[in-house]
Amino acid sequence: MSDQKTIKARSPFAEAFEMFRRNHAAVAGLIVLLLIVGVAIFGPLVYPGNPFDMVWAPFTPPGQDGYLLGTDYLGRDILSLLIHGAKVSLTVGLAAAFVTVTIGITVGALAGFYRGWVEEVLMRFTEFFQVLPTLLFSMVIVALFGASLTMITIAIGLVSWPAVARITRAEFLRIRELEYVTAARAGGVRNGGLIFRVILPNALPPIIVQAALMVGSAILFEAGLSFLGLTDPNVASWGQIIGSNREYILDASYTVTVPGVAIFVTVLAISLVGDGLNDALNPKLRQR
Amino acid sequence: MAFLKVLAQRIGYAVVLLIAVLVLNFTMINLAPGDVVDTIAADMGGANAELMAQIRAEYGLDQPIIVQLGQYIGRVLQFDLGYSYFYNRPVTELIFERLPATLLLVFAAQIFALILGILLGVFAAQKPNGLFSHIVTLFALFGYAAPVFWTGILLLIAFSLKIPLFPVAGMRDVTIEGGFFPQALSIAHHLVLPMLTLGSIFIALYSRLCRASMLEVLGSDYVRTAKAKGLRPRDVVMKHALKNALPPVVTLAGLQFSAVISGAVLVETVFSWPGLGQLALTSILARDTPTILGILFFSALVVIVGNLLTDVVLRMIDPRVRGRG
Amino acid sequence: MTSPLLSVENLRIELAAREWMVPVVDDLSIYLNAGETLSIVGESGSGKSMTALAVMGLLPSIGRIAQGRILFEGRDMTHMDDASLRAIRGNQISMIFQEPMTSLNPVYTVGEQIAEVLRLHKGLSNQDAWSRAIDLLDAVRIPDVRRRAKAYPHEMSGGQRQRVMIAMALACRPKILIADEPTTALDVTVQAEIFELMRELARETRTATILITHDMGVVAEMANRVVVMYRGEKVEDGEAEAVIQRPQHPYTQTLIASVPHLTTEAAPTVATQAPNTEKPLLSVRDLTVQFPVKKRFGKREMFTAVNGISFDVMRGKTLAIVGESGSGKTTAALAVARLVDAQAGQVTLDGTDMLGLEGEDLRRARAKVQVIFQDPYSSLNPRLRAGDIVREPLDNLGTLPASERDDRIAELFDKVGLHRDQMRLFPHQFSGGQRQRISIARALSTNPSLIICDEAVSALDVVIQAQILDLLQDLQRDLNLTYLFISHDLGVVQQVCDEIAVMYMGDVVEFGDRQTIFSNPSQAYTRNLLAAVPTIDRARNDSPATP
Repeated sequence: MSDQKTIKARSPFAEAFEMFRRNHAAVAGLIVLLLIVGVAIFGPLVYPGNPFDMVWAPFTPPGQDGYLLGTDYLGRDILSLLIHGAKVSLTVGLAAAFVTVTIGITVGALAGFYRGWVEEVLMRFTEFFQVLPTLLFSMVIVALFGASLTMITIAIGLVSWPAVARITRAEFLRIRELEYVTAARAGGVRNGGLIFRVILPNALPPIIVQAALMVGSAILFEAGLSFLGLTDPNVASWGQIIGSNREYILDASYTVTVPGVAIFVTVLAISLVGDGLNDALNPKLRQR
Repeated sequence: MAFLKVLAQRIGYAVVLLIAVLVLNFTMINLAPGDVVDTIAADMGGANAELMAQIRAEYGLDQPIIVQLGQYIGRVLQFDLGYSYFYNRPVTELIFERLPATLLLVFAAQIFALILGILLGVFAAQKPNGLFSHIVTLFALFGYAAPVFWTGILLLIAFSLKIPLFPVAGMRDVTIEGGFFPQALSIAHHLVLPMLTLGSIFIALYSRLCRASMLEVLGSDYVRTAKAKGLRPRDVVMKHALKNALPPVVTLAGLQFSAVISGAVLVETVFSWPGLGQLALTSILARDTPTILGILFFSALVVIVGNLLTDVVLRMIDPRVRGRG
Repeated sequence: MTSPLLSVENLRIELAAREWMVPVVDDLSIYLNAGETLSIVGESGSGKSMTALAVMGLLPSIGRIAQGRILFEGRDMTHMDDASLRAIRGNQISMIFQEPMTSLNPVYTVGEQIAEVLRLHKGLSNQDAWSRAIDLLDAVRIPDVRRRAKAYPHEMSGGQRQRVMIAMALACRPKILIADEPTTALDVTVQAEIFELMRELARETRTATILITHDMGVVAEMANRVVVMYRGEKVEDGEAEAVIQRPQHPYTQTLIASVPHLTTEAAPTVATQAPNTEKPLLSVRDLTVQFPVKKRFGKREMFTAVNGISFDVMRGKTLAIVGESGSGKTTAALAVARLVDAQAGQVTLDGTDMLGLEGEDLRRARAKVQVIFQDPYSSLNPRLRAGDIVREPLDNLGTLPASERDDRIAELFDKVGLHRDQMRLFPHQFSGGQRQRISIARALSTNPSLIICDEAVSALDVVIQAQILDLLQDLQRDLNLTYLFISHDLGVVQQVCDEIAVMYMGDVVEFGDRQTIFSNPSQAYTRNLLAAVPTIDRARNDSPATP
């Protein structure tokens, strides 16, 4: 403390990054996640072929006849299906999380900042969405409006945002009472500036963590829908592989277990990253 | 007395929420391409325009939209959720037939997950860096990351097919005769795997939160006071800490009812559990709109009742909530 | 000579920080005789609370006793098994803590929490324990005890909760009571009542007391002997009176200097000046602030926080608004700055009608009033660099061209005694005192007519407090600043203000210059307030219990 001149400026985010880097599980999760992203992007180039082609005898066990993960009930190459499914899972996961966070932050920030009747109306609206069972509601949307990937993404986003809205609102309610916000107001900052430049950056940590977890739950969600068969039949997806092979678990359990591992590992990696972010961004764990 | 007043208020609010669900349902029917009559016509293998107009008039579809909405809500309040052309039965009848199975599964899984989650969380918090705590953390991660239908299938392969401890599908053994107990036993036997599967996600959630909540409470001033009184560690934890650590967990559980029902849809599909979830799936694949919307309405009702129960439990645990309206 | 009741010998306590153990108490030796009151004085982080927790065997899990012994009636507590320790805790040695708001368990009634100790240590039946608990609550003067015993902590005020803690601590008639800053979170009049109660009960039960505090005034009024701790070490000890009269260590001297002098007021500078005829810089008339409070079942009611108050502040002077929590002093000041909405009244600042402003006009007028807040941790945006925090008002309100703002910020850093290189650092890289300096620089940035200091030094330790007060006074002299100084601390107020407004429940009950208020207050409330302040230069009407 005595030699302040030599101290390097360290932003709270730089410190969070340092914390994250030291968290082995989170770094491992991040590496696995990056690998999966790599497979989704480059996999189809390295391992070409239409995943829906029937390439070999159905129920060829993994490793046999050159099919690393075997073939399914229609004789399709499971490895190829998984590679193509990765892209769908990640894209839907990210896009749905984006929709979720956008709606959630908007609703939560407005409710938490303006309070009064704005808050009352928005929070009642949020509660209403929380009453609808998420999967059922998105099933209904997909059933009524068509099972395209876009519709699935919108449906997932539409049912998942209340969690983000609640967290954002809680953070806004907390932060708006802090003295630095009053100080900014005394310093002539306008409402827009207070929301976006003063409060939101400080409210972000828990929202970022929630957003990371949202990607994971959106992937699970998409898998659930496609497991039930509510997906675009022309696109390979992990849940769909499990759903369509479900009846044959007695003969070929790998057709179900292997794609499940793909979902499990992806979501696990995302959770580890999310937990790492949580520990790194949680101010309670750092000194004030 | 204040409690009854608050309860009455909550129930009133619940009714408002349910009407909102109806409005949403109605909006979705009207927004979706095609209407009931198209579906009926399609079922009949095509119909001429005159006949379709006649059916439309019969269903009040030629009325202004707001009148239709009023009629719809009016019908639902008389327990008339419409008619399923796919099953050829009133929707209410279909739903009441399936509802008990779903309620059993949902509440069994929820209670099981709460009890186990709290126990795991409390024990893990005793030694936050101990082996058991790490195992619970790891279990929580796995429970969250595993797709519930996959967990179900794995359990099915392991404990029904490879080691035949539990039945593969259904809710009870129809060959069993006799009174209440053998029947109940059979249902319980069938319930084990679906309940474990559905519960696994929520055990993960609850144990994780309970551990965190417990750790926070154990560091609080009043726990220090309890220790300063000379209480035994067991009393400090079970009497002073636990009751304070519970409210966040109960609140979370209340918020999860909608997720539990969602999970139940998948679990019912895996285990052929004859509940609402299965009905929902078949009616969606058959584009049986009245049934789907009826199920959405009833599942919202279950969530609302679940939330009310949560509220009551919270009030029992935490005196600070009692004063609030 | 008999051996002392409790003696701590060469105690060294270490806490785990990242990779190594840091000593927080080192080579500390103290003793306590039966029936006496020993005070341990020091600032936050001096190790005084850790010492108390070590005696109780309640060190946090990251802490450990690295060296030394703690002897209670000749038995070494550092080597005792858990069961024997538990038999002492709450029974022979008990403790009350600083935070009455959080130290009681929120989910049990206060009666139950007291009865629990009695059942545990005295083996009383449920019924006996309960009736004894009611007697104890009566002894600490909880009104309507039979009913209030069934109340939950959140249904009681801070002062009442601390009374419950005292009842709980004294339930088993312990030989030693450790009180760790028991009144720091309470208003000064409540503090006086609590101390009165502690003195009386200690005398009755002949309980020896260890009183931990940061306030020498409290020592003077309560203690037989005193130990002064600084950075984990004992720097001075002795009879309380001797230490106060002839403090040896510079830290002790600073502590004593911060205690308000209530009777030896020097002739004020104001009185020597000619009567002031110039117009006041700030003129407040009939200011009223109300808040809606949500009652049960949605009915709304208005709570009047500020009830039609009026006062003036002259340019270059300091007006202090003093009062206890809930008096409305902060609300009144923030209403003047238009940071809280006023329902009625008139606020004229430098010729501008502040309450009449709206929209852009209001925003621009904010340059005229700036605020220095209480909490050095929450008053600075953690995501901004120190320089940008000071820049914020300049960017939004300043008339300065962008090119000159950097120079202005650098100049402000010089003025408040910070180094220019520190502009690039983030708030968490500064100490509490340095953060308050950043706040001051921010407040100065727009050249405001009026600066509101809202408990600006209340969160700081005494030594830092003195430095910041000096800085504020230097700046006032150099820049002819006008302060509206909000404080509950009469010691601080006495050091900085020219005039004082005393607020009580939304009203200004007394207004006058410093000397009049301190030496000859006219209102009963002001007299009570002053009488409640612990001081070292008032003849004690009630000296500490002598052993």
